[in-house]
Amino acid sequence: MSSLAPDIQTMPTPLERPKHHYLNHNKSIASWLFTLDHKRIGLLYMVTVLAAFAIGGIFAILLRTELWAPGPLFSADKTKAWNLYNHFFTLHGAVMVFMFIIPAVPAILGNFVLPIMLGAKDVAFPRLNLLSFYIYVIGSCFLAYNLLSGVLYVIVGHPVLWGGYGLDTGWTFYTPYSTTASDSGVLLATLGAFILGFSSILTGLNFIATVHMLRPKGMTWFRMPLFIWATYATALIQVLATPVLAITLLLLVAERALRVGIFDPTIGGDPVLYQHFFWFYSHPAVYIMILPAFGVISELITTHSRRHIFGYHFIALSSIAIALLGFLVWGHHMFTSGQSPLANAIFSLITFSIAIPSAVKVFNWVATLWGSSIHLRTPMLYALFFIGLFTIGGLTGLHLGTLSTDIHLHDTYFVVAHFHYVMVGSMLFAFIGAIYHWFPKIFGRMCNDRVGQIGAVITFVGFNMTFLIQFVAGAEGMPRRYATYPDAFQIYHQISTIGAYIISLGMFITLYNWVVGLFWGPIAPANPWGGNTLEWHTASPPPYDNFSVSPEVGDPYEMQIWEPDPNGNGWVKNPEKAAAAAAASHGHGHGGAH
Amino acid sequence: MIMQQMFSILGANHQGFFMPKQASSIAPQVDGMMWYINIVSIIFAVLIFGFTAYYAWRYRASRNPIPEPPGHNNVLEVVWSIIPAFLLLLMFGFGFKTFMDMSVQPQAGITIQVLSRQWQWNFRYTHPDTGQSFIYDKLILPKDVPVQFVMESSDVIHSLFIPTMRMKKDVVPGRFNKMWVLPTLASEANPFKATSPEEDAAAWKRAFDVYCTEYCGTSHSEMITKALVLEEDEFKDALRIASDPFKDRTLVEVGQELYVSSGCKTCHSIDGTPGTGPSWKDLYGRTGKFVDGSSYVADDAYIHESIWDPHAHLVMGFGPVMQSYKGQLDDKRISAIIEYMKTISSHAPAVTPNAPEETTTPTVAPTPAAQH
Repeated sequence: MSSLAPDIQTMPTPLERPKHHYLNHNKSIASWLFTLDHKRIGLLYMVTVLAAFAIGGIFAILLRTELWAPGPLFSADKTKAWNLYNHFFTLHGAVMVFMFIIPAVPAILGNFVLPIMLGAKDVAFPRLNLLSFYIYVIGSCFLAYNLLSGVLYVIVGHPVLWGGYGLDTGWTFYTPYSTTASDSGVLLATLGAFILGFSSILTGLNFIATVHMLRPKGMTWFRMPLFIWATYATALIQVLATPVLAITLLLLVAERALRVGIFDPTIGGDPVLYQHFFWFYSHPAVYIMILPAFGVISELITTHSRRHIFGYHFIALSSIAIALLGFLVWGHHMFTSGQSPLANAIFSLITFSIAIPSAVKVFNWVATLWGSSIHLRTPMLYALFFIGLFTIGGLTGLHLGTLSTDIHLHDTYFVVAHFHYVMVGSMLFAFIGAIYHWFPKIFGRMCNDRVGQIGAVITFVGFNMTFLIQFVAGAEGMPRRYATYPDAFQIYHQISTIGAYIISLGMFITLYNWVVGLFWGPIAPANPWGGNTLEWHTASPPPYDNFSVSPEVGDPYEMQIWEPDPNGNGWVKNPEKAAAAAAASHGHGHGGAH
Repeated sequence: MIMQQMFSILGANHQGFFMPKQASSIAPQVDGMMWYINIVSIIFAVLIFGFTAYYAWRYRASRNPIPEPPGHNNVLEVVWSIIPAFLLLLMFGFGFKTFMDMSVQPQAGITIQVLSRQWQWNFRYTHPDTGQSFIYDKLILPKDVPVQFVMESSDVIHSLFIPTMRMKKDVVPGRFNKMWVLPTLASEANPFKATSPEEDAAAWKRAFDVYCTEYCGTSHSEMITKALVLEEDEFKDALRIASDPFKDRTLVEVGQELYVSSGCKTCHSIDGTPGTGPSWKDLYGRTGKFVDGSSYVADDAYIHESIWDPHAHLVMGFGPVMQSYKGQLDDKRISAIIEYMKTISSHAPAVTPNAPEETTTPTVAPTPAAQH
């Protein structure tokens, strides 16, 4: 590390932690369970969302273990082994999608950081925020309880006390398997997902209102940090798309319970109609997953390279473009369904259009690095890994958006590899980087950077080991959702399985690092990294109402007004530079980060 | 068009990037497009990784403590939007063109009906001489003749995928989805010319894989069969042999093979292991109870009914899962199955007209010599 940024870990004297902050504002259990403080709600989400991640991750390990060799592993009875596997991959997908990825960045970091970044005291509707959390908890309980007890059901052969029948339809619930053929707990699982959807909708609504109404004086739209642009675009999708999922799930329930005949071909329905309904939400849903990650990366790259973002307007508006275009491409999940060639062509063409704003973001991030001053701290490492992994994930989307190649690659491991590169390699890396980045602000303590870097590298290696080979397996024809496979594919599966175990090692290291940092980490300064978004203008952890002194709004990426604190670690504002910057931006009068 | 040819040539001269053999007329074009996308992807990936890694090193804080002032460059933004857009448009255009070729059969050929059910593929062919239709559980295809698949499912959505032919289409119940292939590569061995079970099994092993690739339940991963491509005269001979499984074989042998090829094996064991359906061990001739409490004897009539109308009576402890085989298994085939069942049941009469002298419990071994 350079002499300008003293080694945080060798600080001789502890800094002073603020006496009163949001964590010790009121310590009773009730003050946590009934809190209206967006920061505490963010933490409540953090606990539950990380628990969901653990559950989803365990089942990923289980299913990859089954795939170590062809033939059944977890039971000598083949039928039981395949049923177990089907429950495993369904559980993994459903828990990860509905309980982890969709809420992760918006509900944890959006809740915590967004109001502070806006210089506000809280979100627009704090009670609605708490309601969102409890809806999430209730939906999660339904879903997780049913899915987990379903695994027991398969093992034992009948439902265990008050247990559910699990879910073996895949997280996509395709009809008519889910309405007619599956004997799993489709109704209860659907109910869980239905409830969870409302948490997402209400959070989105809250954020939209917050961004419109609670921006401070001087923060025009084009002076907002890019994390807020990204969260705003995400919120638009959450509000517009999730209700479609809710209705689709209701129709699924009606079909299964009442045999209405919407999807069942034997009574006049159309199974492919379900796919249209489902993907109309679920494709925008993947942008709910990735847009906040994009926002995080913009913040991580600028802060840790101390350079103003390159192409601010393009990044901001590309988020909106992706959000809107994302509603028009759902049919690219259905190229082989029997849909007309005309429909296929339109969906393929529009799918390509989304590649451009995504690529533009990546180019702008890389351009930001030019001429910058990079500190390869843990959050920055995750951001740089993100760029690499998202590049691969995005480029392999081209193979799938192209009609001729998608016919071959659809429903093979190529698709599995592609979406794990964007959902895990990109979104998860951004999420972990974000937690490291805002950890000092949230908890007032620093994590060990060296351990963090080690965890990042191990996760990166394990991740690529697991999923890079799956592109090859898929191109060679290995189908998805197979519990067993022809011998020729075994080497691919074994490499993947080893990689999965390495990922879990990386996850344990990361978790360990966070726990150690939380209880025994060195005290964090107000601005450990030198960023200029408004959360760094307040103490770590922040006071209950976020700011003891109203912050001055400037360009969020004007990092130069901060310089290293000669007395300790972290960065402090240089008053002359700050005044000069304020004068410059007021003089110009326009909003606008360059 | 030149570009079109270029894509075909690229594909024909190489296997593509880790792609299976090319066994259909469309495979070279598909592989050509894979090459194009891979090359574009590798170029952009190298550029992005390269610049990122280089900048991470060149502009690390210890070497560049003062960052440059903010920058933006609208020209650059436009250029790096337009160039990818152009490359992507080519991708879309040729992908679509090839897809249209995949959608429209170039000339008339033969039609094979695809019958899919949980968890077994079967195909209905037309006998080359008599014009009668018959069912066979593997694909037999003529080289250089277009084949149209008319596909139906009796239960859930399946998907027929032949990787070497780069073709895939969902099989949707309630619809008759169609797809066509023009096989261009003959299989390496012809099992219909084999002279021993081992040779037969080895020959089928070298045929092209056919997968179900839309998740369809418990044994989705076992819903696999093979596609054999033969020159046209050998193809016709193969059909003749395949159309008559009874020729030169005992009913028990045919019944044993039907146990596998009709998919009975996915739910009914032959050694007593519990499964989705009652085990066939000691089934024939036994008495038992239905779910409504009434009792039954598993005689020929009962077995016939349970294959054609499985939901009419359910054995106690089992649910209405099985789909009817009416139209797929005729009386003669059911007789064969019954004869096979007799050989593994202690309740069966000691001597039956078609049973072999020694009644040993057969293993689920590959089919006997020459006939299929």
